[in-house]
Order: sequence, then structure tokens, then C-alpha cells
Amino acid sequence: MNPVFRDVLITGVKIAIVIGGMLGVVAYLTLMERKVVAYIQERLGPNRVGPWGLLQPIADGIKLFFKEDVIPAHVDKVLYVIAPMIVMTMAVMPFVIIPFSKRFYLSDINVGILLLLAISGINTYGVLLAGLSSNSKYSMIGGLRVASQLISYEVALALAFVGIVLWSGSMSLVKIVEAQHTIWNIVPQIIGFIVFFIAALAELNRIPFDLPEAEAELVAGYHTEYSSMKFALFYLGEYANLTAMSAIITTVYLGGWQGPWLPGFVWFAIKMFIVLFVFMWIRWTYPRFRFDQLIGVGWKLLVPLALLNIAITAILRIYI
Amino acid sequence: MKVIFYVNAFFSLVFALGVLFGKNPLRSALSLLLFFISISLYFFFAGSDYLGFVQIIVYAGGIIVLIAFVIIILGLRRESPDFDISLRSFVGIILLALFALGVLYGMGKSILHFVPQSPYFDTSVAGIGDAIFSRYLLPFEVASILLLVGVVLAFIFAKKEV
Repeated sequence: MNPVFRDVLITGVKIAIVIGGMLGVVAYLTLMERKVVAYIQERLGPNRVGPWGLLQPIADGIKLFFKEDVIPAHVDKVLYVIAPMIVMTMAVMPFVIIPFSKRFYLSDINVGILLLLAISGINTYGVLLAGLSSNSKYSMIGGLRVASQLISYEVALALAFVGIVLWSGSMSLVKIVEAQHTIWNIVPQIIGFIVFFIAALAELNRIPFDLPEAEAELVAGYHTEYSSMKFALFYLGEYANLTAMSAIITTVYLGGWQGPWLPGFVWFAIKMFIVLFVFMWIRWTYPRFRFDQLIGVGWKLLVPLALLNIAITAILRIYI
Repeated sequence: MKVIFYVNAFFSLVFALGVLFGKNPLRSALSLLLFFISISLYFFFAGSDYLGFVQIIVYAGGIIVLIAFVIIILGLRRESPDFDISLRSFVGIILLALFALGVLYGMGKSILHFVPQSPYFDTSVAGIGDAIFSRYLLPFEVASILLLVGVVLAFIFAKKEV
């Protein structure tokens, strides 16, 4: 077989495995979230469709496909259609560079951390454009809140990454995982981890930072005017972002695929699902912040803490 | 590679013209975003991944969001560009075009002479860090002080009582 053709084929199959696997995880995350909330609130959760409600995500998907796709007359059509696409695409992108096991990753680029930051920068536009193009006051306020929130917390996120890069001495995710052979980054980078986790919650628009879609004040925030599959894309994008963020936390702080006895891929999945569970746990435990508190926490607490973390890491790197 | 480069150059021009001639300010901002992303591709072609991603993070991720912010706060009105050309502005445009040509000519000449002499070709993260903290330490610090002054000034302008 032609070697170029073989390479393309292998890469194509890898991409299909990653995207397919991730979309499967995302679909079943909706079920997991409902099961977890049911457990926290002492009820049963979905249990009618299939055994233990296992077919529920498929039923939801079919329902959303067959709903009428309404495009309101007062929207900016082009931007309105593009917005959910940006959200979903950018949510899938981080998986390009995440190492799932020692050998299985799609690509290893030497500035991987910067790629993650660039993706999260572009991701902002999906929700921002949805808010602005909808031409409705709730969407508009939702979009405005998203923009200010993501900008504020991206700074803390990037500064937490700086600590990691200093400690591991590389920006490539593969090398960062390998550098955690003896000790996971979460131990020397505990301040950075706390900052990163809080900033990640805000980046994901999850409670306690879900002000862009606070249903008590804003109906549904930036996706108020969306219906059918476009709404589903926002919903899936949200869960895909959640999966991506859990995978990033696993890779960067929890040693990635490293672990004894079991194969790397299994360790990666276990760690990722623990992080996912913690995200859900927080969502159903805490109330929502007020908006000025949210911006205050970002700039007055997380950014100084992240800078402190960088200083400590630099001192540790020099003297240990 | 060459084909991709020229296709990208074409799209950069299209997006840049989209910024100038778009009637909807939001769409202009969006084509500015696409323009910045296509600019970052030039850095990738030049082999500098670091600068390419920094371009996306800073310009696409930060500055355009702020521009979108301004558009939201000032209102989303459709602005129709005013093309009412009188004799005086016609003369002005011609003079401006001549001036631009002169600048371009000078720049082209100096760039042709300048590029081969550029001292650093190491565009990796380590190489850039090295350059910033050794050879270009003074310009780097001056630039950071300039940014700091900008931040302080922004605060003074924004707050009535400091």
C-alpha cells in the first residue's frame, strides 16, 4: 500500500475513534448528570427508557432532531447559524493534542498549552455571537456577561498554565504527562490547581458561575432564541467543553495516563470521570454568584493567587 | 504549501476589505477576527508556532472581544458609509494615495535590506524567552512600562474619583 495513503488512513481512523468516542461520552454525560443530581437530591432520575434509563440520550437526540427548526425573523441569520457551529467545533478541538495513553494521541505539538488557550479564546465567540445575533434583550445580556466572564477568567487560566509550564519545562502535553512520572503536578502545583479549577468552572459557565444563562433572570441567556438541533448543539457543546476541560485537568494536573497495573487508557478514563463527577457535584451543591462578585473573584482573588503560584514555582525550580 | 499561502493571502485581503466595507459593525468585527486568524497563519508558515498562537490569543481572543463589547454598549446600529466625494476630499484622497505609495516603497526597500540581517531566527518558546531576557531586555522592559502607564491612565479616565 502507498505509505502516504496508509498514513492518511491511520490518522483518519484515529480521528474517527477520538471524535466518535468523545461524542458518545458527551451523549451519556447528559444521562450521568441527571443520575448524579437524582442521587444528590434523593430521587431516581430517568429510568423509563431502556434498562436504568440507558437509552434516554438516544431518545432525547431523536426528539431534538425531529423538532421544528425555527429561525426567528428578527435575527442576523448568518451569525445566528454560525454561532452554534463555533461552539461545537471549538469544544471538540482540544482532543487533537490530548494524550489518551502512552502512544495514542492525534498530534503532539510543542506549544500545546498555547493551542488550548487559543481554542478557549475562539470559543468565546460562539456564545458571544449567539447573544448578539439573536437580537433579543435576554440573549444580549447573556452574551455581554459571557464576554466579560470569559475574558476575566481566561487570565487566571493562562497564569495557572504558566506555573505548569515552569514546573514541567515544556508546553507539549505529551512531555507534561511524562514529567509527572514520579509525582503528579497537583502536589507541587496545588495553588495553581485550585485557581485552574475555579477558573475552569467559570469558563464552562457552570454553577456557581452560570450567570450567562441564569434562568431566573435571563430565561436561557444567550441561547434563548434557539430551537431544535441548534439548541442541541449548544447543549452538546457545553458537555463537550466539560469533557474537554476534564481531560485537560487530568492531563495537566493528575498525571494523564500514568498509573500502576491498568493500561494507560483506563487510568485516563477513570481520572477523567472522577473530575467530571466533581464538576457535577459542585453544580448541584452551590448557589449562583452575583455578577459583581464573579468579576471580583476573578480579578481580586484568582489572578493574585496565580501570580503567587508562579513566584513559588519559580523559587522551587531554582532551589530544588 | 505555496498554493495554501496564496489562498490565505487572498482571504486575508477579502476579510480586510470586509472590515472596511461592512455595513453592520458586528460583521465588520467578525471579519476583523477572521483577518487576525489568517494573519496568524503567516506565522505558522514562517515556522513560528509560538507567535502564531500568541497572535490568536491576544488579538482574536482578547481585542476583538473588547471591540464587540464596545459595539454592544454603543448599540448595534447599521452604519452606512458616507461616500459623498467633493473636490477637496478628492484631492485629499489622491495625496493620501501618493503618500501611502511612498511609505510602501520605503518600507519595501528597507524590509528587503533588513530581513537577512535580523539577528534571531530561533522562534521556539525557549529562543524567544532567551532573546527577551538577554539581548532585548531593555526594549522589553520599556514596552512593559508603557503598557503599565496605559493601564493606569485607563483607570484614571474611567473613574471620576481615584
